[in-house]
Amino acid sequence: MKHILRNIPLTVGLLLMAAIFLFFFLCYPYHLHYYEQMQMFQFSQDYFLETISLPGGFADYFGRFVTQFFHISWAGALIMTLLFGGVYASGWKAIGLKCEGNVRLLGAILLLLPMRFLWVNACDENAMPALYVALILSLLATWGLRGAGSHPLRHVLTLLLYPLLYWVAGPLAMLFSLLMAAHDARRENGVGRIVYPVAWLLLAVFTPAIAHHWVNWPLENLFLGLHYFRFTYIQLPYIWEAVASILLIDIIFNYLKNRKSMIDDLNPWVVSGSMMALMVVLCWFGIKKAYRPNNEVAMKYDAMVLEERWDDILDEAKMRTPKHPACLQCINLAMAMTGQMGDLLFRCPQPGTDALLPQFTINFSRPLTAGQIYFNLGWTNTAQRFIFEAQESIPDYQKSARCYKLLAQTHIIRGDKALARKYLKKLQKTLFYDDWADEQMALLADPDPKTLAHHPLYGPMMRGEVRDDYFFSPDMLNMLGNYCTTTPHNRVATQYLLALALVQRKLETFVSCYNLSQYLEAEKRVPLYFQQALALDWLLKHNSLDGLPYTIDQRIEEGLTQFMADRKAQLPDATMQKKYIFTYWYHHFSGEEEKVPEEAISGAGR
Amino acid sequence: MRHHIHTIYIAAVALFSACGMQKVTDAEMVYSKPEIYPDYVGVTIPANIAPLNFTMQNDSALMVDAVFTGTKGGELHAQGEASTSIDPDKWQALLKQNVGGSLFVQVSARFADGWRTYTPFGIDISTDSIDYGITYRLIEPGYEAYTKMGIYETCLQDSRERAIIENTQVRGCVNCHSFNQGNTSFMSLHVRGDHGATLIQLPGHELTAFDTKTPETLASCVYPYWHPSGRFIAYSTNNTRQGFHAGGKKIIEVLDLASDMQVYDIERNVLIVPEVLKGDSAYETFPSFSPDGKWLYYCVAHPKEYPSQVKEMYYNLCRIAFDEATGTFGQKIDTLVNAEAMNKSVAYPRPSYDGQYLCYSLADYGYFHIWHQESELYLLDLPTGESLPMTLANSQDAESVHSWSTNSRWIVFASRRDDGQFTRPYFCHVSADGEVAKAFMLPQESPKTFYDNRFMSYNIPEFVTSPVQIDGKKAEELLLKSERKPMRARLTK
Repeated sequence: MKHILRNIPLTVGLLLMAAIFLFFFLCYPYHLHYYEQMQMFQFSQDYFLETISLPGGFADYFGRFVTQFFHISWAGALIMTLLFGGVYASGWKAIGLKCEGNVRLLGAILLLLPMRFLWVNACDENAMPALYVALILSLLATWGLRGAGSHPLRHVLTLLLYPLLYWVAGPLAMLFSLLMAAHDARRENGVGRIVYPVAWLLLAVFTPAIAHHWVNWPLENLFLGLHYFRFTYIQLPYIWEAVASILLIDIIFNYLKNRKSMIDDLNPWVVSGSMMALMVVLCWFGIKKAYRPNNEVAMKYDAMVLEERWDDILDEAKMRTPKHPACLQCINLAMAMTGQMGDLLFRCPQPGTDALLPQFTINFSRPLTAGQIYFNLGWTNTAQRFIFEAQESIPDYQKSARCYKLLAQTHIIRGDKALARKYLKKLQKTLFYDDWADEQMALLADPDPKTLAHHPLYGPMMRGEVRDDYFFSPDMLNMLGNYCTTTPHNRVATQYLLALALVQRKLETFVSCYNLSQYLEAEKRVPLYFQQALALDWLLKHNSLDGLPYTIDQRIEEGLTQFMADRKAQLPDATMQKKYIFTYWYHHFSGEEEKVPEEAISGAGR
Repeated sequence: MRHHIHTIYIAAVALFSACGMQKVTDAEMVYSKPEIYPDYVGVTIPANIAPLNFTMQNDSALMVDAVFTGTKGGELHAQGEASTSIDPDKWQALLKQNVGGSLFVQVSARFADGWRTYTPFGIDISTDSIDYGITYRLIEPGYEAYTKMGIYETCLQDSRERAIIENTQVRGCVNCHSFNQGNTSFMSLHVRGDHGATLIQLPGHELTAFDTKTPETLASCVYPYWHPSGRFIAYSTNNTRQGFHAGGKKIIEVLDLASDMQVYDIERNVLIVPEVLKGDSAYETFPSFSPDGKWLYYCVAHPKEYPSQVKEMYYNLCRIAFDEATGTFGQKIDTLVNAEAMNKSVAYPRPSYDGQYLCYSLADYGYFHIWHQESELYLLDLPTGESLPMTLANSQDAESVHSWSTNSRWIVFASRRDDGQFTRPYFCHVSADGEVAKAFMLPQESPKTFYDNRFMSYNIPEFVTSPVQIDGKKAEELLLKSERKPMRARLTK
């Protein structure tokens, strides 16, 4: 029993780590993928110097280094586990939870409170790994200097260490000054009990102010951190709560340590059991509130698009159809890439054009998915714009290896070899993209133009580029129509054109495009929803399905007849929805024809 | 901070690698001039420019060796792996010794199969010196969104760059920087975003943040140009939009839905808005004063429909008289370059400070020529009215946004010739009789590494005669406050 109780702190720590691992591996694996895509860690002197030139830069550098591995789900989960474990263990050491009895148990379990704040933070995909590194460094520094006892040199070291720690870890070094202040307030005698704590607190205030002379960031950021949250102008809500709770535990623990009799009489199992239950409840409710399953799903779909796992996307959609436009965009793309758009289109909600071909919005994640769509469509200029802008919008000014890769590809397709090489040279300095970059460089170095022309990706892309010079317009149907006229062999684009006409409820346009497209020749049969649309169009024009010039399945004819009868009988919408939600006919009659947007001229100049 | 760490590192590397140069032995003779990066073959340079370090364009070169011999004496030997690593002091001495003469440059390069030596080339050293430095905006060549950017300055004598103000300080977009004939005690800088303002710096005055939008004007003041007296600043005010090419080689078109011009009278805090340069019947933009202050040059186009008539948007170069005593304009508008008649378009007129020439860019249409591959620089001889292309300075890609040195003998401009996307600053000499020499790129210690790693474009390079005096921290403090000094507008005929 005593053995078990003595090992409760280790048990608590291990339980925490197990929970963290399971959370990230099972619940948040695609959040980890997302992290990796929002950066590009480079093994180069310039990158190192640039990163460490700001307060907190070393913590950020290390955080970015480990983030590289996040695209491997188990590795990312393991790294997060180690980071959380590192904060817990270094917190344990810094506070010095060494005594026996219930106080030690209490301390070990209370230390879960800051971990709870950090875990809630971690549910936000914009909480950066540098945060954990900074905390670990600050706590380790505290442990080191507190362990120096009352040696007079300790105060000098504290004075010298703080600015260095601030530069290395950032403003979270304040945790070190707070803990040292609490320590000296307890341990020093006489005037020292006030002078030293005040000195450490003043250090925490003046160091950022002094740094402001050399660093081109507002003072506010130098106090609150540049690398802890992706949005540099907004503060992550629970960082300082985590810091405050560590300080609070330090104070409580050291108070109780000297008054052990207060709680040592209590049953240790009751103490540990009740505190653990409390922590579990606090964690549960905090994390449940902060958990973002919709984002995880959207990230999963995006990751599958990036990896071209089209069948997986369709299987996922079959299991649980999402409504998020970003997910629908991925599903629609998967349909087109597998040639199934005509058969599967209305198995998913189709709220409008945006679910097929999104317009640009200044955002650092949505244009990434959109850029992949346009890339696969063969619209290289547009793909390049979306991807470039997505990267420009990354709030902490990082570059993205994913974006660099796609930009290199678009430049290869456009024939801008010098530009492609520029991006590839950067990718050659990464750990996971260097081999791919080397392959592309070798392609570019080959003087034979047939090499690229016969490349399985670049060849068709180069042949399928948009040749006419016109501006990108909100009138997607018109743009697609023009494109398909000049590039009729692009099956993906043709599917999108026909699907878009249906989604916009422009039945006549659909029929014209269908008749003009090479679909009839290329396909052995007419896809399901195209049959439904063709049949409906004929019926609306001729009041009967007689003489239908297309090969339409008998069941579709019968289904349409029934649908029109039910519609005439004015069945309740709930009934109609239940019967016909997966038909084009229901979509056609459940809304208005989508209006052609006004010719919007994009954005202001820069 | 980063610069200091970098300097220490480079010094350490230099120290360890200075222990003896490799000898060029058994070199194969190549009877053509070397293909070097940057291309400094046959350029004309000032005597007070930083070392023209270069490397071989061919990435498989392991080492480059250069011997510079002055026609008036002196020699310099430089060698390095990443670049020639020219000793700055020896370089300065060699140039000083050869002002008005030339350097012959013998280049050898070591490859895996040995050394190759190339036909020497010449570099002319002009008797005309160049200004202290250039200022410019660094920004990624993107579309609507922007990441980190700022206004920077490089000293042309040692290629050292420093930040004047960065957008991390103010959460916005910084641009439209302008000085009075390179005099940095007069500065106008525009900032857009949450903390937007126009900062104006005057000699002996505090830096002030202005709100330049008035009820009488279209929008905030945008493209600035100082009157030589320092009392006035001409601005355009533009309703700017962008179109993005879905196909073809071009990617962006920047166009105005409307634009007007006005002149800010600093003494009276009045924005003089002349009726003749306001209104919807024409788009006026890119103002610049003549060096004697009596004329205002600008570009003007007739309004066109977007997008159908975008390629018919032709800007002409015009001028109108300006009376600085009364702050009034003439009524007659002279057309100096009728680009419309040629189905072309003029942009960015910049007169030389000796009043002899005016440099502008010419492209097929529009006014944001830096996005037009066909854009080229032209020199208008003001007394004769003749325009000629600056052939040796131009390239197969876009050239634009140029600035004259204070002695009117050098032009700095932005060019996309390197890779078609990222603009780099180039300098060319213009002699008193209008002869334009081949342009050379802003030198760096290790140019290939430097420019390979630079994913930003140089925007609107402007000559300055001394370090920019604006205190970036003070500007930050001013911009983060909400107070702005308003301008009053005064409509005139």
